[in-house]
Amino acid sequence: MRLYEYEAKHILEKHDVAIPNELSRGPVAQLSFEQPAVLKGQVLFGNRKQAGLIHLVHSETDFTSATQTLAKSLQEQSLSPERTDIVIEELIPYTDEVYLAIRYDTRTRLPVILFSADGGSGIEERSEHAGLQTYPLQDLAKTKLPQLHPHISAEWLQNFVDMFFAEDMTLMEINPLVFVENQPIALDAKIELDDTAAFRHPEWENYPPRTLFEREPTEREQAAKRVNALDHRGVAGAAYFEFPGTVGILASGGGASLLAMDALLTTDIRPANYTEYSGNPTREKVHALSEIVMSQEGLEGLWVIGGHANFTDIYETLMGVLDAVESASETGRIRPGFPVVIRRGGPRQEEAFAECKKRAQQLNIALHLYDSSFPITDTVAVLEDAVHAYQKHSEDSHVDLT
Amino acid sequence: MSILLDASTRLLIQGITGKEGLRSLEWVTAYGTKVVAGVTPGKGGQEVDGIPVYNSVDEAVAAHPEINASSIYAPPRFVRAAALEAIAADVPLIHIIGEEVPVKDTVDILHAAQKKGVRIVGPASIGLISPGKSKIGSIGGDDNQQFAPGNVAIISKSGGMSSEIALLLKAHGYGQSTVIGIGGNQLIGTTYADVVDDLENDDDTAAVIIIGEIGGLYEELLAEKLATLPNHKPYIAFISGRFAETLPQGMSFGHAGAIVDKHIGTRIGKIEQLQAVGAHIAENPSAIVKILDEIGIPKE
Repeated sequence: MRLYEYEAKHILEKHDVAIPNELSRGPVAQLSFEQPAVLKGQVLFGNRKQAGLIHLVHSETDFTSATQTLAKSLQEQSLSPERTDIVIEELIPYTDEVYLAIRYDTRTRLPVILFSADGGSGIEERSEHAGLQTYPLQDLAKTKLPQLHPHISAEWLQNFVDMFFAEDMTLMEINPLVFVENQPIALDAKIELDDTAAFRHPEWENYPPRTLFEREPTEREQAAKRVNALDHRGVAGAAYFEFPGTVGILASGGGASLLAMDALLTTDIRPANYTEYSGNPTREKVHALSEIVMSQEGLEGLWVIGGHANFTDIYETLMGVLDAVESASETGRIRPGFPVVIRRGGPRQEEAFAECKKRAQQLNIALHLYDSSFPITDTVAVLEDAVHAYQKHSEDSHVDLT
Repeated sequence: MSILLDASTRLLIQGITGKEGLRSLEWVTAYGTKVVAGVTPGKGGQEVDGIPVYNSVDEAVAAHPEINASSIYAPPRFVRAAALEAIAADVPLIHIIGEEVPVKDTVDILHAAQKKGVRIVGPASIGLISPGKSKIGSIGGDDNQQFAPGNVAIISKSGGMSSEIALLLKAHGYGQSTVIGIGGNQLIGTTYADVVDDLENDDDTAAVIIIGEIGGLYEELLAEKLATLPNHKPYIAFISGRFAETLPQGMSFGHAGAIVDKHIGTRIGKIEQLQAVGAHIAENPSAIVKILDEIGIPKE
């Protein structure tokens, strides 16, 4: 989970790492000018300066124009000026800036300190740590920390490293770290928390919902997370992304979903969502997630795609999916002939397939059912044809009506 | 032959009394793997399916010094302690199925293992199988029909894809020497590069299939390793992540380690580096079979 800048800075503060004073925080309309300051839009994507979300203000006039630009920039990013926080921070005059980060490195399979005495501008454009001094943290208990900068003391750096581990971070980036009277101050902070360590951090539950897309999390994205949290049996809805397309997707298996989505890119079919279930969730849990997928307006098909399950009950999970198709059909959200393309295999597969066929007839949907002998990548052509047929039928019936 | 496990494997299962542990015991035993003991703290003295359960790895190893592999089915939050116990007891091969093991815990495990020369497979590894001989973990479930003995090794970040590819190979007459799910987490104990020497020395492996994806540098490190071996066996790689790379920077998709990064671990970067050292790139899984046919890998 990525933290907003102000959340990240609160963690730094807790660990006695100096940050600029936060003067106020709130939606842009609620802010007023009090003193020269920095205004910073709280969004999760990078390049906030380029996006018009960071402004230095020295006067009331500066402030007015900055808030106007902020509101406009937020709207351009599909973010609500009413619901996005702006932080006003005291201005810190400085001359010297450096870049300091800790992250995990797959080359050494260790946490590494990354440092640049030249500051970090353009750091995102650098390849694997290019131009950065890299210090692997070999044996955490015994590592002698490097002398990075005359004003970064051994105690300060030790505290910084300890914070990274104590808070179960996967990324801690200070860009820039500046020096005032030789004391380090973190002007910005980017933190990623390790979601798998949440059991050690009950305080993380207080963080509001978020997404890395340049927009707010949608109702469906939040609802899917709740479905997953309410029932611990299996995973369903932990990842849910909404897109502007027309085909609903329920995927199973990390590798299979990567492969399937790559294949989908070769067609003109565009996803309405991406979500996944795995680890043998109950019929009810899959049903609840499928209801969310099927609630999307204007769906033209459903793609249920997964590999050959080792232990997920194919009967229970596919019945959960069809339960949602049934309610969409009953409420008229889908028309007869709605395409459902399923590719899946595993325990109770034959029973599942027989029942799927039976229910497809009752529901009058166009079911395309494949087991693991049919390549995942070949199902996209089936899906494409089925969706086109449904679209064509829609045009035909439209003509009939007029 | 095969790598990492064979008929001489004597397995310990940690977390053997849990639901997943019990199921693995049943599956690997049915496949012929010799499970000699289990560990669940507080349940020492019990037996499951005739296998004795101990309170600690030390107790299990003292009673069964022939133990040479352990499979960890402890819940994610207890994986670190379980793995450190097995490492301290010098169990040379440790498989970890748990997906949600914190990265910090993983570092501790990998570091301890490295000092002792212990090999960790995982976390988030579905398991390993030497078809027809032995298997560890949950790979193949109770079915195993997708696997067949043969001369092609499959090394995959994805557990599901290892089964998918095995099934595809089998349908075209190719069997497998060894199939390893190395796991899709950011930090893992056994990477592609870590098994290259074993595969080169394995008489039964004629070709190696790599199932990779965006994120991290394990595919790149494989290319660096192969560059040091001018006459290495044929490698065929399939790398996914086209769609994932349309998502925002920093997002992970499918697996925790499949992190979108514009510069580190891109799909194209991996493909170019592997191609440069003579690996064949399969544009989709079906192309793997065509490449095996073209380079003339003998069918069983």
